Amino acid sequence: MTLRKTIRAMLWTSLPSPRGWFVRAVIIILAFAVFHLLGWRDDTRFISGTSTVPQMNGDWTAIRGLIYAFCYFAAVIVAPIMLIAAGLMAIMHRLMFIPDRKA
Amino acid sequence: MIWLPTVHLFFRQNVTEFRLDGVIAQSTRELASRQLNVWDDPVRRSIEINRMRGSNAEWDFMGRTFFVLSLANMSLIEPAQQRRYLKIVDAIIDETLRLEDEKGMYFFLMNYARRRSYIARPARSTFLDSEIALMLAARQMVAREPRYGPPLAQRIDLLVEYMSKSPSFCGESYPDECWMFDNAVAAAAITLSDSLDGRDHAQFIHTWLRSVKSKLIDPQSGMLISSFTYNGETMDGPEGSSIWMISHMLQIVDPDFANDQYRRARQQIGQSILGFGYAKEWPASWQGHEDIDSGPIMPIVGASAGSSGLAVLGAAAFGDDEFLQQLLTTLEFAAFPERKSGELRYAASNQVGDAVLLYAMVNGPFWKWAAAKPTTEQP
Repeated sequence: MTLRKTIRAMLWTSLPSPRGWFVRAVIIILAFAVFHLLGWRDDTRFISGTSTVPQMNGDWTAIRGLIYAFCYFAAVIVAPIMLIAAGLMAIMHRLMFIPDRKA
Repeated sequence: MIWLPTVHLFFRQNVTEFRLDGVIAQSTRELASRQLNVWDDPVRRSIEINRMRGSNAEWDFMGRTFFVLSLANMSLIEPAQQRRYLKIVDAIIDETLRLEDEKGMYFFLMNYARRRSYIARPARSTFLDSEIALMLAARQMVAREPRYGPPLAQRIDLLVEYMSKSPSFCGESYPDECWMFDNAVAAAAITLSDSLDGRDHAQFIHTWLRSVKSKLIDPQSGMLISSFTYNGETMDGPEGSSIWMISHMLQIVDPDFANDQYRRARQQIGQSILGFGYAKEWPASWQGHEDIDSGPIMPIVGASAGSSGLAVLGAAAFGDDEFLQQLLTTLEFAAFPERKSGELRYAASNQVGDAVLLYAMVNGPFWKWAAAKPTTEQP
């Protein structure tokens, strides 16, 4: 399977399933990790109303800061909820399907 | 239901990591280290100052004030480091006075200061005079330096003159625009200066307090308004980015009034949710707008970066450890701390914001002495 097909398969994984929640949580965390490694954390100074880089287009750096902040909060608030949901759903599925599988 | 109430536990900060009696706590030392290193390195300093001046020239000036106040307190906490700290204090004061002298007061003011004329003539800004007086008084309080005595006395005389002749008994910071923040700083500087040189402005302070209590309190909230015209007409009501600092300054001017103002601010502006503390810019009784002082205001909850940062100072100054711990937890969660090479800074903040936090964490010795000993003794 090519990388593109793998990513497409991951994205199309049904959301209300343990795998669906897990995959999306991982995507959020990975997105945050990428922006963090790109050094966009420094651009969050827009939160205090400070111009980000003097003599440069402040709007673009503010947008980078906004994207970073959005991904950060998604990674620390939304992604853990998805992971907890994935875990709880996996346990429920397992409990419900164990008799069937044994049969 | 499982995650949200527990998120704060992963970012929880103990007050003792930042604030300890008689010593500089570890995280505060890292904050101080960052500020000291930036001041020592002309390239880093230029980057920081340019970033702030790109948004607001006032922040360049206020960053100096809060850092000088921090170093004055640190000098009293660590007498062995006093010489090093005072060297930086003197460099900041000298450069600030030189810039004001060479480039004029507008250098540290926002551009709109030039659009109109000051009512009191010749034009002076209480914003600059009050903070310069406070810096000089802080320096003198740690150790007397003869060359700073006359400029301090001169600033105090100017503040008293300009405030006395105003119908609101407050000086203009901008043309026909008085700020309670600056006038409270002025009152504190005058009180401190009296402790240093033995002069007596008690009657002036008494009249100032009577005037602001009778004319400049918002009837709905019971808090001091933040800005008003030269004649005392309200411009902006009680504002988070002002009231925390005002309360702190009032601690050495009128402690009961200071406690009352802090308590009201805590009740009406200070907030906590799911273990995180923050502060709104405006109380529910006042409809205000976002401005350069508030920073961006978060929709729905109304959290303001400016108000929340200064709330740290308020909570620390009034010993409100529960709120302080919640605010520090929010800083850890949402201000994007960066700890590197023994330095701590907050990416969402700037030099003035970090200097306010540093001052919040080390303030105490200086104010305690000023409040307890209105004499000419050194601490």
